[in-house]
Amino acid sequence: MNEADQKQLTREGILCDLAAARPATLPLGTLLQGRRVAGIPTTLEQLQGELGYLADKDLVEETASALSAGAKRYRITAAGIDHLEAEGLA
Amino acid sequence: MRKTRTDNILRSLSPEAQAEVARIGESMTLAEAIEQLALPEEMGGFEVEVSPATLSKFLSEWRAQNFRAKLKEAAATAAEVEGALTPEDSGAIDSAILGGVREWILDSIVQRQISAKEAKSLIGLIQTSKKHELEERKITLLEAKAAQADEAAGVAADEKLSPEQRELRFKEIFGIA
Repeated sequence: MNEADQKQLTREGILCDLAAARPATLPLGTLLQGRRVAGIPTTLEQLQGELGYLADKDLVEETASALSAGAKRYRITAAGIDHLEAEGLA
Repeated sequence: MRKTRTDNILRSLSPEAQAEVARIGESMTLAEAIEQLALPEEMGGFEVEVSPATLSKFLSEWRAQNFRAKLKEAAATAAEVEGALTPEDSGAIDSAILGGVREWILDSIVQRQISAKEAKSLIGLIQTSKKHELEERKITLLEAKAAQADEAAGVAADEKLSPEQRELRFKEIFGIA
């Protein structure tokens, strides 16, 4: 698997995990767990990078945690759901 | 004769058979699982030949699918707890607290710190508590009404009062301006 495929799988996996939890938000730890469970080794830095990319594309939005000040959580947007549907993944 | 299958063969099995393939794959080494899957059905196999990469991919997808089912269940339970706290209590409970409760329930279920069953027990406790609170309110209201009725009966029986005074007292008792 080349780097581009790996990135694609990581992004789609993140979106699928967020879609499963929709409309709830997920913290970084759970998203990282999802990538590991799926057998796609991802570091925290890589995950944050991909979340930043997905947020720039308006597929994901970042929210502040209600419980931990400063902690970030993520939610899939309507555009994210549309993207998954277009890819046959939702 | 063993059937040679494509990468999608494991995904084309029935949900029950896929669960069994996953159980086999999770309980032994990849090589052992491949041998087991290739066995005839009467020997507990599926008569399918798969490569290590195919089985490994299937197992990864299976785990991801289970993880998502867990996320879905956790999110639904968190929403259920939030729903048990609203809408009657929404005025009393800050939306930030509700958001915190939702996050805590979801994360705790996903991290297996509590089960969905335990979270649902919490809903039961909240609902029972709300029911008791409602019953207590009803009793308080009935007691207040009974006290009003007793007081009004006393006024009605008081022959020292003029009709005007009696009317005034009734208005005071029942809070009529």
